[in-house]
Amino acid sequence: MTDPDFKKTLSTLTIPPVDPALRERGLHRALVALAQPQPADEAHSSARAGQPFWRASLAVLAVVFVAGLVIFREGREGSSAGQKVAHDDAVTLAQMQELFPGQLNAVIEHDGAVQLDLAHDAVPAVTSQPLIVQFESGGHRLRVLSYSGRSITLQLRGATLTFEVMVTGGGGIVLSGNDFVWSSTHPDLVAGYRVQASPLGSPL
Amino acid sequence: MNLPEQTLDEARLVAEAAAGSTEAFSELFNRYHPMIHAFAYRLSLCPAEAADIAQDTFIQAARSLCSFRGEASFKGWLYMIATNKGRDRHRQQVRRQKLTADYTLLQTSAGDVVSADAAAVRDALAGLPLDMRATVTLVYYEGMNHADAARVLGCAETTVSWRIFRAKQKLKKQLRPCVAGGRHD
Repeated sequence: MTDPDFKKTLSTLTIPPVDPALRERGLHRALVALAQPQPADEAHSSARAGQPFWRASLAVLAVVFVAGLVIFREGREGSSAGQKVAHDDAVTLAQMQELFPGQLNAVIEHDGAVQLDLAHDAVPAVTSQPLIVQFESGGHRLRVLSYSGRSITLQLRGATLTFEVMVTGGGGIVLSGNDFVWSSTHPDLVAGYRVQASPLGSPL
Repeated sequence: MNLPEQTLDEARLVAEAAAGSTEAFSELFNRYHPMIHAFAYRLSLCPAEAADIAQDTFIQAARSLCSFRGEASFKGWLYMIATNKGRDRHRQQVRRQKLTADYTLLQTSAGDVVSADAAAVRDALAGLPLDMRATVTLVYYEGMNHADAARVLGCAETTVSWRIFRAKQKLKKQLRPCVAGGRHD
């Protein structure tokens, strides 16, 4: 076989088209990563053995906080004003962030209990946009307070849902999970739940 | 010396993306995703793996942009990350004792409809060790010279030349019936 024949034969291997949904998910996940601060030596870490395991083990520690319920709900009970609720949510989030600096992924309110989604290790504190994500299904409601760029793990009907959340330049929200992408412009159901999300302080 | 406008534009985009601009990063993503996806496919020979490797590459690039100092071209840097991601995934596959037969089954079950020639090329490439396949991909499909491929692969130029020599021997031997059949000799 001559070299031109060889090259011609190799060129018959065509590239399958990229699934647009996978491509979009890839972009969103990369943008989420871009929004998160990284140590300077991260560049060469992809080749390190054990890294995927360690990252997986960073999976979040959820701590039930009964006391937090008081802080979380108290201000909201007496007032139906959206601004008051948003203010209280912002205060709650800020207080929890002070208690667990760099570790807080989310404050989650579900059926009257408040959980904190905490990372094992603290990351350098960053000022990113606080936001709220609300999951609703059949009278069931779960509210999540977090910051743009965080990775959050929830239990929805017994299933574990992990996703990254990000505020886009246009003020929209994107949730990017392993097998789904939700955005405020394409609000599909997630695990059977209707999702609403907005930067904290904006109406849902 | 005047740098080409495209190089300047790319340097500006990389700098803006490193400063956190999502628009600049999206532009770089749109520009290079098809190239990295194609490379990842030729490396993994599996559509699903290719999508994952391409995704992992851009996530890693986003995390590491601050450390990109322009010593290599941005494109070469992406190839480097993609190669490492491909190696990582390959190691994982090996750890899970995914044998070639399983791997081939996965490929054929993924709805990857290809011509007989393409299937023969794919099977022949699948028979090469990963680093040799990566070398063939960079040199024959991406059109790199041996020196550039060596930089991406982190090996000596002579290693690239040797791998190409060995790969050509193996592939030509395996693809000979395919070429003969294609010509209806």
